[in-house]
Amino acid sequence: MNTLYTPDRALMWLRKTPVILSAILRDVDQTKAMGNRDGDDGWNVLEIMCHLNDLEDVYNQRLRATLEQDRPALIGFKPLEAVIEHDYAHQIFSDVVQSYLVRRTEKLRLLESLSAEQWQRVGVHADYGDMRVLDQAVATALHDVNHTEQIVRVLNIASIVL
Amino acid sequence: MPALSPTRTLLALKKNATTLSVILKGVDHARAVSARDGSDGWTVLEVLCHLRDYENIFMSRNKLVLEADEPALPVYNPMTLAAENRYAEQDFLTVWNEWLELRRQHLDLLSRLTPEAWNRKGAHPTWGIVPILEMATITALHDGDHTEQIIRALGLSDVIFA
Repeated sequence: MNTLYTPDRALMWLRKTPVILSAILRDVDQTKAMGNRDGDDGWNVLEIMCHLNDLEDVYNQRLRATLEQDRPALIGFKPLEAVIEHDYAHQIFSDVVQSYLVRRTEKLRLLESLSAEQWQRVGVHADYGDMRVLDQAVATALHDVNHTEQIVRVLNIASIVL
Repeated sequence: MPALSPTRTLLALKKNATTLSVILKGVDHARAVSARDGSDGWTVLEVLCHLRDYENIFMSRNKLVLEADEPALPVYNPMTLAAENRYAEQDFLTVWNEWLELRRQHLDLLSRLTPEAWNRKGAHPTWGIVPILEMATITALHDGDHTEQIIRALGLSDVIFA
């Protein structure tokens, strides 16, 4: 096993991606968040933030299960069903952003408290197979990257450069 | 799709360029040389020079790994590179375009790899034996690391995770 992915690096990325997101969202209010969509039937910024907020909760539950149980099956998440069940279209944008940041803080406090052995504990994802706590943390940071760029496209504040 | 996959990594490498372009929107050379990450930190120009030089380093390492069996990967000191390549004297727009061109070349290289090629490995003196997939994913997360640094230097976010 190499040392390319380390707990310190994972923590650093999990701290940094919400800062990038907050910079992108700094001039976005409720009206703007409910405006443009990612394509005709894609999500608007409010719905993307609801998705990030819901998944942050799911990711935190998966981490806790992995720490507390022996190779638990990681809970699933159906993004499109969550849109309806959690009524994304009628949420308050600023509350959703705040909730996401609180959940990220909870995740960071949890991960910061772990021993080296705990970072290697494994949960079993239905699609991805074995995922260590470390893998789950890195995957969360990559998920942030994906949706941050989606928000940029929806807000139409950059041309796609590549 | 596993948590770390060529598809996810290629997507992140493309998306980060778009996100960084939004963060740098409106930044000219004067601003890039005056906005600094702390009293003795790098300016936005110097951070961008670092990203450009490491894009070349990351891509060159991948080329080495594709051409030889577990080659020794060269390592560099970022501070030495900053002095040798006279970051402070570079032109901001030129450096941005150089980084974009290197990212295009890097994406072109990676997007043509077979699944076997993504798993070819190099030997890093600190990290150990690392496959191209993990090095490419680190490249994407390295983007995020320095995008957040640029945001702090430009004062674009109040969100800071200590």
